[in-house]
Amino acid sequence: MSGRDLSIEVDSGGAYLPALGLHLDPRSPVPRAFVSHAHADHAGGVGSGEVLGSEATLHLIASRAGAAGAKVASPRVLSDDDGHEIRLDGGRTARLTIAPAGHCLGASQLVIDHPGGRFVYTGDYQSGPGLTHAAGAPVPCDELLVESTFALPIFRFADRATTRAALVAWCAARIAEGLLPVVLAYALGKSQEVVCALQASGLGVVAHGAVHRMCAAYEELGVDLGVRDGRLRAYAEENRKGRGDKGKAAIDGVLVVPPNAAGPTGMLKGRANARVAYVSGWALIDASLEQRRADAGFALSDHADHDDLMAMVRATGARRVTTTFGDAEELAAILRDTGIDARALAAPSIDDGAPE
Amino acid sequence: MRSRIGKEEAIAAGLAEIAKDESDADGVALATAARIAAGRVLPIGDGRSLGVGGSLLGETIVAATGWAPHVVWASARRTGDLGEAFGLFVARDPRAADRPDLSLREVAELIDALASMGNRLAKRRRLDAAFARATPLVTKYLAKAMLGSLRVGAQGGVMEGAIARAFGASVDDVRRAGALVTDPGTLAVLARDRRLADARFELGRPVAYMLATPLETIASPIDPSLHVVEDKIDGVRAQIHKVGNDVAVFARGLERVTAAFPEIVEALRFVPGSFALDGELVALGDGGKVRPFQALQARLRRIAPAPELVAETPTAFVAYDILHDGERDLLAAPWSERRAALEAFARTRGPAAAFSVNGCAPAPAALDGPAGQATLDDLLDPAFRAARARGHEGLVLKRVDAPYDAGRRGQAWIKVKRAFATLDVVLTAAEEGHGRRAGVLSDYTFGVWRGDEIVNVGKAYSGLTDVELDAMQRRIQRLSEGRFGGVRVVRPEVVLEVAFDGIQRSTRHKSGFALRFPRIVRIRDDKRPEDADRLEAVESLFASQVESGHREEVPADTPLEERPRPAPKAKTKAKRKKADERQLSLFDAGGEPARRRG
Repeated sequence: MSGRDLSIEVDSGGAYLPALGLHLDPRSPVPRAFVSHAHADHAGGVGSGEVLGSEATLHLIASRAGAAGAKVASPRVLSDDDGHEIRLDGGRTARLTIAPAGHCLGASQLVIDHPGGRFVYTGDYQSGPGLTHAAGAPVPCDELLVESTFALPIFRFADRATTRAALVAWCAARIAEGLLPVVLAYALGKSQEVVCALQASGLGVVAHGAVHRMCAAYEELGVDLGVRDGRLRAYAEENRKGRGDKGKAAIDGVLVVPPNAAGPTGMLKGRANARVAYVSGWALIDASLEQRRADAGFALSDHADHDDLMAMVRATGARRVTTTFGDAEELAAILRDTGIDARALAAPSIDDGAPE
Repeated sequence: MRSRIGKEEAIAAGLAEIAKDESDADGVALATAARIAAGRVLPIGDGRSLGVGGSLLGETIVAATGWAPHVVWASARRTGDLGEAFGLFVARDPRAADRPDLSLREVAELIDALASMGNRLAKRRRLDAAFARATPLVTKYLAKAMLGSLRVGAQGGVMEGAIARAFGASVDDVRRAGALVTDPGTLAVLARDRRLADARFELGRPVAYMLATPLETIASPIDPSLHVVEDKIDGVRAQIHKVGNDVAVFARGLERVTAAFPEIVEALRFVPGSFALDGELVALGDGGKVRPFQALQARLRRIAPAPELVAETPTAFVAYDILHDGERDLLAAPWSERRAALEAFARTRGPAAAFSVNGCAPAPAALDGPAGQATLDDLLDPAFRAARARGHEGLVLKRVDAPYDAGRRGQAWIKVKRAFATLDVVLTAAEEGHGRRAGVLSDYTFGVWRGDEIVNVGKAYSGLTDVELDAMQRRIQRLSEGRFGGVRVVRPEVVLEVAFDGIQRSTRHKSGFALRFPRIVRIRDDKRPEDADRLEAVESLFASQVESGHREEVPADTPLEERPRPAPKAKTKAKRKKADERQLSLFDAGGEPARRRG
């Protein structure tokens, strides 16, 4: 340990805390990994010797790993009160707890209380509450490692409820026109939010397999998405049931699919009546809609926007801030401009349409 | 919106709405809207340029938003478009939605004022004042229009279709008029006022070029008695108009570039009478021989070249058509009649280094063969070889009884080119594209083996379909070895087959060579990286070109580029003031697509 702060190094594609022998969201298996949430680009450490995370995150990565025939070797559930202790050099200990990060079900900030003070890693973060996950909140600390996916000031997301309502209205309008609304949403997190909003407004939902699986995993964690009672229908089954002469069945309701399943050769091929909405923070950028051939975009983000990030960083009172993911250099520079000691983590960035 | 009809309908609805404004009798608002929808702000052929580029607009954004330049530029990178970033910055201010906004007439005044100003600071003040009144939506689209990044996609007849639809005119009438007036603004106003028939070819105002259709094999026999064959000259398409004592040169995008070619103006200034010619600008070598395109590039980058550059790299105009002989316009006359007029004109003009008429010969009788069996370049092989020997890149077949079909790419002119060669190269780096391709790794750098290292020989827009691009994107991310700015260096594993039109010396690439107009033919997953070509193959292809006169050996320290590029911004005031040093980017405007496949 150098001085009072934890030293942060870069290893295995992510941040590494040598004093604790702990990797934060590594991209590949390591001896000991903290996994902030279950998105694939953060859960590369699923095969690590020891995997630390929230109960929900460990459940979700286990069900993802299970689907791929793997399992999490040695899961260690962290909680928000009962600290997990890691021994440091010189006989002292660091105490690890977690705090909600918003973002998606199970997403957690890692809080490390060590003799030099408190270190917090936000993982992917958002302060606003979701329909299917808890709200994130700033954790006062000395040292902060913060995400910077949507750190640029051009990213300013409208209130989530407003955006959800606009999406629901768009889907309802397409149905009224006799068209098939298709919502592109990341399979874990975003699509559960979308399914929940659509069902709450009385629209029927058909889910792509990957979306359906993750909805089932959410339901095992107590979030009702209509999997068990059959309100949420699986696309493959719907298509099999009502297959017409052209090999594609008419879909009744809204189809929710992951963004990569709807390419020009994907499941929408041959569905001339499909109208596509892309739901992501990235939808704020025109090119992202063009690339996904989307007819509409809804910037419903599970990440903090610029203002949210700045407010969070200030609220933690951190003396020293390290930024990571996306526009890390820019956020560090903007924070420095406001007098905060900040630098970017020199890691290969997880970005370019990162799931969210 | 992607469908052509959808675009036509949307633009038509907009134009019809604007045309309802009775205070717009002179059509200024309508013309402005039509130009912007067509992706430009000034009329085609307007001698001025707007002079608003990214760096100037970037300063306006910094001033308007208070964000540091690095934040503004990082945002432009994220969105892939400075105008879009500007709109998002402005949208941060909740009161911006209530701004008064600019009327089309005010936009027209703004554009006219900017184009008439030379002083950068004055332009900045005008821009700052205008954008302070714009809502986020207008900010975004006005900035995009000024930067030429609007990408409405109203090319290829969409604009003509939209104007026809908006004002209940026939598409043919709009097209005919459009080829003559070229400016979409003027065209829209003519259509609104039911005056399309008044559209005339006017000397001094360029018409849209008649274009040749590229063809590899013939679908139906070509009657040799009705065709002639001309060399396809490796230069830049241009029109030259002389009205009274004024000579004007118009480039491929119909921009006025007169000052860039003083020796050509000089050669034609004293020809009696008025005329309009169509032809090609070329660089001239010893003994009047046409030099390769590469040699012309030094001249294409200067708005007004220094006398030393003119002496060092003289240019010439090779005419192959005459559009007006001073007495009447010849557009409707058959090629044979225009050719006779052109030859008569050349006799009046007399010989000059900077002006000549392209040769033409009867089409070979072998053309009359059965359709679809032999490729055109086989049938034309002797003529092809003769053209190559003269240093030209291909052939054009022209129908002798065809009129000058301005603005159309029809079967009356057929161009035949041969790819020079193909090479198997290894992908070494990928870069994100711009605009629609923002965030997509669509620009590839590739190399060949020199000993046991790979040295780059070129960079190409991928030329792949969206599906292939998507698959490559994931592959590249897997092979990524790190990124430097927007460039991702990849492990050399993917073999690509590239076709190209030539090889030139380059200091940009470590190999010392650059492929000219490379395009990716296919991804060679059947080949391992070690099966790719070696530098020796590139060297021997280059040597064969030098031998045949297609390339010149030049000192390796001369920086060469693939094609004229948008002007890098002048770094200092001293430089900016000196007109000679200003860069000419006009040959990029309008016509030529980014991927030139000619």
